[in-house]
Amino acid sequence: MTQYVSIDHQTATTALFADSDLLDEIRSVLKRPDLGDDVLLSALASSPAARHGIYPVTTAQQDRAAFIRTLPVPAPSHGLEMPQHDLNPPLALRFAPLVALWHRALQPLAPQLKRVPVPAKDR
Amino acid sequence: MKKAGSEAWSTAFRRLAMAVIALCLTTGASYMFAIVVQSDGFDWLDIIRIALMAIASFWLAWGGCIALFGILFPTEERAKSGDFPEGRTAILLPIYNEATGPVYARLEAIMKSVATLPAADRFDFFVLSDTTKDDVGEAEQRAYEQLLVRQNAGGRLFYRRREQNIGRKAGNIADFLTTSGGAYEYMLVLDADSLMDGKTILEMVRRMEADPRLGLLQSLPQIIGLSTLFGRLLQFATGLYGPYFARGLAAVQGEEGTFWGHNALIRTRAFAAACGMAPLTGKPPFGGHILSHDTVEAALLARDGWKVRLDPDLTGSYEEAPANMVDYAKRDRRWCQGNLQHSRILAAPRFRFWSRISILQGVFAYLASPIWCVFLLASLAAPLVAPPPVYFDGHSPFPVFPHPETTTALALLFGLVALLILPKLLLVARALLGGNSADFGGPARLLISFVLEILLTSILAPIHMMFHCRSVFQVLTGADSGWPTADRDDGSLPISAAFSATWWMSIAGAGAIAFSHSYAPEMFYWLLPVALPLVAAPLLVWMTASVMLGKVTKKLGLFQVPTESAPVEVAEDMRLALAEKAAA
Repeated sequence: MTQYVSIDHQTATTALFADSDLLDEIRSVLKRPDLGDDVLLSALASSPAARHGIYPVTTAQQDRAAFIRTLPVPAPSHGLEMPQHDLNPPLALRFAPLVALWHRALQPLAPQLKRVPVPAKDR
Repeated sequence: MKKAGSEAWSTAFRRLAMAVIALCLTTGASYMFAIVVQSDGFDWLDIIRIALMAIASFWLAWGGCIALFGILFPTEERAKSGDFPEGRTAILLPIYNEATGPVYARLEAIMKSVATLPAADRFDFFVLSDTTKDDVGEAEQRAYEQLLVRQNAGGRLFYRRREQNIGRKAGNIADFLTTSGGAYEYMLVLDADSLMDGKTILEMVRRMEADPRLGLLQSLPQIIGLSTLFGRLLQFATGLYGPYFARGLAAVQGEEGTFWGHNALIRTRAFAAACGMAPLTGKPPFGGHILSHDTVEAALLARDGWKVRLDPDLTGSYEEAPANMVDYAKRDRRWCQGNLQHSRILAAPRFRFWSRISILQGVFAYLASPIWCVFLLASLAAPLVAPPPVYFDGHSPFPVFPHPETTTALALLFGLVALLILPKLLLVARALLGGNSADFGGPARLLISFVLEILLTSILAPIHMMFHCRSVFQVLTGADSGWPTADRDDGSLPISAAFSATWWMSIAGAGAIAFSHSYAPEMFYWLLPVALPLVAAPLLVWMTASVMLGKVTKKLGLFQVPTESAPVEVAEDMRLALAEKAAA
């Protein structure tokens, strides 16, 4: 049966749990090995039960697991990059591939398009 | 199941067929209208009227074709993976100053439903709050803690509130992706009024796992929980016609499908890579952050080669909708601004052809009303500018009378009405012959409901048209005249709020009748079906917002929908959770 103790609200949660294996147990129950000690201690301190000064001190594993599953732990921290796409780019940027294609198409004709220098033409 | 190549070919064929049918119908209607309007002489206003008629009738024909294709092309069977998905799924509930109780009651119902699945531990829940009001934010935090304890959901339920709601809902989802998105293969995006069955969620994940190219899977949300007359009308229409329209849409959209912004499963990495949107240059309404982002996100996913699919057979997906016409118009005002803003991204680089068509459709959904309105005004003005009839043309000593085109005019009228009613009639016939009329109260009640629905939607159509016209005008001029504040929990409206929202329609309707009576008497009777509902708009809006009338129709078994004949478990759970909260 679960037993509860009332503790002084100011009592450091750290003192209550730091020496126990509870932190590892929390990681195991929640399947969250990424959660650090400080994060868990903060979650323990801010848990609804803890705010009412109530902690289970039972040794029954399932009761501890039930308590653990009420802890407000933070979401996994694994962000993705989200590049911003410009959906209305300026015309110069939009037609840049076409301009490049045009230049490439003109390249074989480029030597013929070169102007003949004036003195040479006169000769 | 078809191969990818043949599926692409059949989609292309359906698109072509739909375009050809719609164009043929448009050409026919425009030709007939041209014959009618030239009977009293041809002038520049007639050209405008014919052009407007062509655009409007194309829009009608397009809608009719979608319903027809919904009947012709049933949903194909989709591949799916095993019962235990490999990837993890985040179920996202973005909220913004919403009523906390109902939001958390819905979430609790979804959590309960997911908890019954064998793969329940593959799903986590996120309440992503963009709430700006501190008291609402505090209530959300309290409700989160209570739910956490009640559902023993530590490590599976998370609450996050943003300081600033940059980018609105799209920004909210982007914030999740850039902080936690990498921990999940998939995300199910909900709305504050969404409800989904756990089995449907699992089915969606299984379908996505079976197709590695599938980037977004949209379910078909059914409208539930409305008790006003307007709400029940909406429920009935979407319950009866909605699945077929969705099937028709899916048949022509193929892999460049639709995203309605909620009740859809998305591949997180694909979304993060493809769907970041830079704000548009300039100021709102056409610049700034992109609104109505869902259509654009679907286009962006398709642009990067991801499949975007609407599966109308995914039932077990629900949403609530505005319970009265004023709330409906308020929502339309927001969507209108977003959709009109999309005109700036219609030519965005690398968009697929059909994505551009979808965006254009979205723009046109709001431009159709002003087009009809201008058409009506032009038709009222036409007799004033029409040249006087010429009885002696100089070729004959006898008078030549204009050829009457009454038959053509009536044929055109019946043709347009048929375009509106025939698809619905076909769907009703299908329900009657297919044996699922019992879901809608039985054959007799279904028929009566159908006739009432046609009558009521026809009467209310001019009011919707005027609301749309006002929205477009406000977006184009940057104005916002505000809305009456009359939020009642049951969705009903006081008469004062109905009057405050629609008095200008009464004036417009009365003005049109008076003008027609004095200056265009030949248009008088044609105008009445549009002008009379406008004159009576405050009364109609108030009456359709009545819960009592809604209850009467329910008692009579009218406007019944399948979700009433077979109660939805997840909705019952939500009601229970809400009642428990109220009792506490």
